[in-house]
Amino acid sequence: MEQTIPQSKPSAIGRNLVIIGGTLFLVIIVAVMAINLNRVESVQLQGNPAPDFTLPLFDQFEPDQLTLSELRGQVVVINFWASWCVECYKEAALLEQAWQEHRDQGVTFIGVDYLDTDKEALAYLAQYGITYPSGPDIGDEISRAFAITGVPETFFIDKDGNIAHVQIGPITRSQLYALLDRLIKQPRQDT
Amino acid sequence: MPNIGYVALTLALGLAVYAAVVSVVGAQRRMPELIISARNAAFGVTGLVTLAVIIIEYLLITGHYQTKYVAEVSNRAAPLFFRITALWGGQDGSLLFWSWLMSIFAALVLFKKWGSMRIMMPYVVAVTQITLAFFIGLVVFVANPFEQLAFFPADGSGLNPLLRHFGMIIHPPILYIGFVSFVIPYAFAIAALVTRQSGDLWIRTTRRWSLTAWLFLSLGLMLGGWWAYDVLGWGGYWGWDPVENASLIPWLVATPFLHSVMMHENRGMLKRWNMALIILTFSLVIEGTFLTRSGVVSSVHTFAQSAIGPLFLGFIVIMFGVSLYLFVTRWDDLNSDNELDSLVSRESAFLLNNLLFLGVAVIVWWGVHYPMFSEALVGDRIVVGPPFFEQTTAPLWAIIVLLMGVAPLVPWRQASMKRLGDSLLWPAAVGLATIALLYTVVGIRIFGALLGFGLCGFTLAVTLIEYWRGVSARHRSRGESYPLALKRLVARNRRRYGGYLIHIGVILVAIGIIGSRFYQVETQQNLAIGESMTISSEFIGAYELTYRGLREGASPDDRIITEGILDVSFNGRPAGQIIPVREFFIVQEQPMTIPDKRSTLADDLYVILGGWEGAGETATFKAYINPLINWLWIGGFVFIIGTMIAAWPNPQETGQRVASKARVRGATVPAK
Amino acid sequence: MTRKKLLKKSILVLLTATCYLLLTASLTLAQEPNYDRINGIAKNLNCPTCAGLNLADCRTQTCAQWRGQIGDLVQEGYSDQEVLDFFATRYGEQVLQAPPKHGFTLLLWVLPFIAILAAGGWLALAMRNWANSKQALVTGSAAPGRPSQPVPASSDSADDYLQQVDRDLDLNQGLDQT
Repeated sequence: MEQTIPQSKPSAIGRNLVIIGGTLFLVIIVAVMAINLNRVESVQLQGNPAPDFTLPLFDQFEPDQLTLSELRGQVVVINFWASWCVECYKEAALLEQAWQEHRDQGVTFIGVDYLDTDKEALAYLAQYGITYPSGPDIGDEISRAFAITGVPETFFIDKDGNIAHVQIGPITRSQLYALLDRLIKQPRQDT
Repeated sequence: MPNIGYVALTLALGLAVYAAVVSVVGAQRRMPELIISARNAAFGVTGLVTLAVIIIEYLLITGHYQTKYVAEVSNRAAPLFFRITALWGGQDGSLLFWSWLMSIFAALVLFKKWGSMRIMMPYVVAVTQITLAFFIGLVVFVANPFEQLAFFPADGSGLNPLLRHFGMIIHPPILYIGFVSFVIPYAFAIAALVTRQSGDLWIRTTRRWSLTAWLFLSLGLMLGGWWAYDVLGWGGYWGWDPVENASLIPWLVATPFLHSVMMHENRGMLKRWNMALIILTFSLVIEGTFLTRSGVVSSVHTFAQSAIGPLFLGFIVIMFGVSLYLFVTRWDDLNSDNELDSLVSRESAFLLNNLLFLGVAVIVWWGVHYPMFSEALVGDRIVVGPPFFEQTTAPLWAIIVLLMGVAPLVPWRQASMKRLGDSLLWPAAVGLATIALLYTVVGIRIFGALLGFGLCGFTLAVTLIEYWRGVSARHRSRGESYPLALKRLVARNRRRYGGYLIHIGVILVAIGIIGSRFYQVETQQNLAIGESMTISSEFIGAYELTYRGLREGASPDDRIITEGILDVSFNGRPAGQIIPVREFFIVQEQPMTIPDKRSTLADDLYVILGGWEGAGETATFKAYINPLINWLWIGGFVFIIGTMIAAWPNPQETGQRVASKARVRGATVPAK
Repeated sequence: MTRKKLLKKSILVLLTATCYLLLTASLTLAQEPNYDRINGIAKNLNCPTCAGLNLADCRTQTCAQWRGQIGDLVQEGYSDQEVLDFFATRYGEQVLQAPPKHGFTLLLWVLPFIAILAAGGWLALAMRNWANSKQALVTGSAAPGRPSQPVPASSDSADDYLQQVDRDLDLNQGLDQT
């Protein structure tokens, strides 16, 4: 039989503290981790209404800024890009061409510049002859709202304002045109 | 062939679960034959996992690219060495490797300790096998390295270029050994709780395991730092990256654990605390590997995201929850044998040591997890970078260094303040003299550096005096020559003098950190051929670097190596050349900026090739002077030697243990 | 024109040309980025696309462009802090290495210190209680300095560690008693 000091009050308090503290800690940490593990990624936004935003545009474009909700009723293609994004080069000319061919069919293209420097961004636009409204994502707000994980990512918004398709990586010509045709033909349902 | 591997793993999983269950049942119902069966099953698990590892290595070496994992981490051009080490190059393989290490340690413990601790062993088996079952289960269900592709690729995508460096290759295994071996002291601690032990048996049994685990963890951390410095080319060795921190935090909790077990063994105090510490250490090991593999934090180290995250989280909850429950219900068994005699005593020094290290651990843990909290609760995405960690932990490190100097002089139980003051006198004088010297002669002005060096001087003095006292006492009383006295002193008191050597190592590391952190000089310039750049430090001197041109060379591994050649002159005199390198990996389209260094005890001249224009008519170089940085590596080496000395078995001890085994045997569960 | 006048004129032209060249040269030299100033600022920013590296150390195209932007801002006369503020506004606060010390982020800096102070205070109190209760207690059954255990795992006198304890109790004796 060992000699130990009889249990004292501080010891019982300590034990209760450990129980409460330990359990509380476990609960909080699990909750926070769980939230972070369930971080939404852009692809999962498919089918949901697109988050509204206002994009300030580069100087060469007519209005100073563009608000997504004002385009309700149109098919909107939102392309996230950057001048340093090598994969984006592959689809740049294609996007511009598709824009030119579909702009009178109720389609708008928007270019959102992700984590980019204005000087190189403008050079990129000039190089690929991009004429659809493009602007910098100030404060990274729009990119976060759409939960993009990299560039290029392209979001196709239908006439009701829902995200019909999320394209991760560059898009091919056939894919792009097929999607546009489908969305243009789809009638508006929310009026 | 791959299917055999997969089947072996599935069988191993089944056996592990069997071993855990049967072990507990056998212990509860006092059925020795069940316990034996469980033990054999445990050996079987090790054998099966080894078989799986042999098979995956075979697939890697022969280049069986239809196996998805092999295609991901290897390719035709990879040399044999990198094919073998690709085992831990990706998520699936590294989980298998982790499981294999754990199975080896679990078997090793059974092998060696079966004779003694008979009451605890069934529970040790249970805990180790349950943990093993989890990791093997992950491999079997979620991260299967034997998974086959539907087609047969012509070639693999190859190992990440960052991993193709010697330091990088041994860093994961060393670190994993450190992490995984903590499962043993943890298992014994849980077993002690379950079997209602109130002594320090579990600590004595696993003391060497804990020290070895800590040794490998320390070594792994140092290797990571050395590799980052040597290869990554950003002039530093520690980035406070979340995954780096995830391996640091268990170390920060294991260090006070090792210290306060001394208090436990000596005076039977802090029983609950030590129990809590080892539970915490192992929980943090698992949490650390969870962070690395689940994708909750963004880091250069993270593996790709998968279903692994939630499963890990579940395991952590169960493990921590069960440990907490056992800890709380066995609370009363762990009452102290002794009281704290005085506020100024070695006991309180150890308590302070615990507080400080855990303080650093809390800070680092919080910094790592804060972005998660911020994003979950407020939606703000924040990055917590080095400034936070440096500014908040610096004062604690300073006090730790101070404590390292004071504690060895404080006796157990009660210190006479006068005696303590007397013994502190000389070391304090050394500390102050260091500061004075640095301020006046060398010209150091930064307060943090002065204070840091002063504390280092003080603690170094204390530690060396401790050696001196022991050596001169032996010399006086036994007439031994000084070298012989030193040798015998250390040999007879390995823990104490090995420990002091570790402290010396820490001081040297601190010196390296202070020098390079406060006085690093860097500059970047674009040079045309023939042009020079200068970099100078008031304490080291001036280097002049003259650009001579680029040189290309291709290696058989399909990378393009470009060397930038610079002539170096130091304080006016020619000092050879320095040739930083850019390696461009063709398949992965990834460049690596590898520095070249001119190293002395005083400093490193560290240069990288940033880029070039055209065919190298002009090139950009970034040069650093890192004062005193090599003391960091020297200190690390001393630290490791010290730990090995401290861990080495004392001849007296082994004799003791035989005697104690004989006594224990009579008092417990009947032998088989 | 006399030869003298021709000479004067040509010297004048030469002089003007030289001045002009020097002027343009100095302007272009002024345009050459001060890498060290840029790197100094970039050290306080995070690489946007790679985790764990600061903007000064990262070698990707993105980082090169961002450093170029720092260079442009510096040339326009921005101070170091103004550049950092610009980047924080333009790209969000996650580009800063050191999170700002206001708002919710204050919690980052403050919480660990509160925790440590609280722990330290509790420890001090606990230690004082621990030490005081020994005076009040009349145990004496446990031999001082000797741990008592249910299972005798060591012969006390042979344990070199306890010998160390003895030695420590007599601090002035430096004799090794093995």
